[in-house]
Amino acid sequence: MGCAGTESGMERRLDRSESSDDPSKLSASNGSPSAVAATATAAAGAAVGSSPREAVTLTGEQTAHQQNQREGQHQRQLMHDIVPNNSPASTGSHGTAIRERQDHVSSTTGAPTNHPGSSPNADAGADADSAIAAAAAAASASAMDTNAAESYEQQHVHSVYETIASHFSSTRYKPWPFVASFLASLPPGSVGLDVGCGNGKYLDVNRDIVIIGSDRSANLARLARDLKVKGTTTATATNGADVAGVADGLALPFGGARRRVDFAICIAVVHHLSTRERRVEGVRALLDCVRPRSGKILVYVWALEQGTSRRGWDEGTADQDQLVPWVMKSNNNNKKSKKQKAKEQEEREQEEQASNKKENDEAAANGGAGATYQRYYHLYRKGELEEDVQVAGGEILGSGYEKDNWWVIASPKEEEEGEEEGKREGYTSPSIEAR
Amino acid sequence: MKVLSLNFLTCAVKACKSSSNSYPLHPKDAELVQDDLEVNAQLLLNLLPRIDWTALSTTATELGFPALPPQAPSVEELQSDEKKLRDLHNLLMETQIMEGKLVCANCGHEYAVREGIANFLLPSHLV
Repeated sequence: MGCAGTESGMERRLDRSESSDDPSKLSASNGSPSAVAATATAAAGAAVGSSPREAVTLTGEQTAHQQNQREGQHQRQLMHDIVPNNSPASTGSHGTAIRERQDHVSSTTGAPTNHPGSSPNADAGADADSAIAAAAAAASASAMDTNAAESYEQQHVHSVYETIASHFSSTRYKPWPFVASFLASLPPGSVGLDVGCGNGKYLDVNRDIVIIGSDRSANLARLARDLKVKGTTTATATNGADVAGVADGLALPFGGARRRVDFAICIAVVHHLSTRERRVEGVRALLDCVRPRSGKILVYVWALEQGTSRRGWDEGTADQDQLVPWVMKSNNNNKKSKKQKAKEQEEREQEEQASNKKENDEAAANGGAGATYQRYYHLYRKGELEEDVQVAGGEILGSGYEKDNWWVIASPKEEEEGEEEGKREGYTSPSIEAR
Repeated sequence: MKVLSLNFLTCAVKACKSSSNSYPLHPKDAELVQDDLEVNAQLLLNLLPRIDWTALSTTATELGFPALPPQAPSVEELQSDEKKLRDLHNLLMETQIMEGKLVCANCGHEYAVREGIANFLLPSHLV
């Protein structure tokens, strides 16, 4: 496996971009419109309620900047709006938690807005606190209609990843061992998908198989391509690694009746869908891509039960629906401290999704240092992922807990196969579906 | 995007999933690049049974490659014929679609490809 070589190559790449960072550019960007807008987000991040209802009119074309402004404008209204509207729908004791958090949030947002660079949120340690402060309006999620859910995810997932892509990618170059071992276990010649491939860190883990990556974020798909497909040399290239392009997990350009693959991995993706219905649909979409009986999907999602992690969420103490801040790191530190932090970052890689390392000019242009972007997460409680997979028509082959995440390996159920075979009979093409 | 991937891509529109016309997608106005990759013979041999040869033939012709033989070569054939192996490697692994469109023959939707990245996000009326 050329994995180690590729990775050290990436580390070199990171070092280069780090050292080429121009502090003057960063500080200049703090005065840019996007940085100002990001301030609004940091403050309104709390408005987490930021309610799907409010976001209905947002379109995919709107920039994060516009959305942030909008969020800021609606912040006050939301504070009044959210509690009465969401409380009745909230689930049991969680309703109280949400109200408490909204109160907390109100006091936070009532304070004068800080410059992003001087915001307390710019500090790494503040990350966990603001995560708690940013509890999402969980209960309202189930009441959302599809459009509202899509708009909400556009705002709190897609546009965030689009903006933080470069910074995010710089913290994501180490494959999780469990996922790597799953990929290593596949028979040589297997063909599969990495749905939500991010920067493509799994695409070249096993050189004996084919993995086709896709991501909802165009910037991440481009990064994956640059790192794993285009930028490779003859010596390090993995023939089986490719990036197809930008695709929505609920409308994948794969599978269906006509063409099934051997496996699909979907790592830290499904938890970004904001209703249970959509999360189940997301799993179903994966199952629809792989062969009945022999095909396998591996799904990884964030666990509610991560009491030992820095975030400290746990059953009974945290809502399952959270807005988790991504803080763009200020670049004013000296090089040594940056390197130390980079090292710590690598060590923490498996435990957390947030990071504070500023990597390059692109990130700086997208949001100033200290800018905070809120990503929606559904934290799965024990057993929930298995339930969702079963509802989606999956037969569970294995499941477990691994470093703050729940995982499931599943195949499409047998009865679906019968239906599938029936459909296939109608085709005249000698499609090779050898097992 | 490698030609290899095109052998597994279908139309993203739900209604097209059950139609035999939605696979393969048809390249249009395609601009290609050729990479220079080391041949991974074992991967190609293992991959061979998974390739839809009819679809690959269609794709190759549409991209301006010489017509493929009507039947897929056997593993033994590929093993003993280095030129065949190299040609297949060139088509599947080294050829990338950089610009152009991928068209679904069922719904007619055209997926744009730019800088090697296809956009499979659907306009709202097709979701």
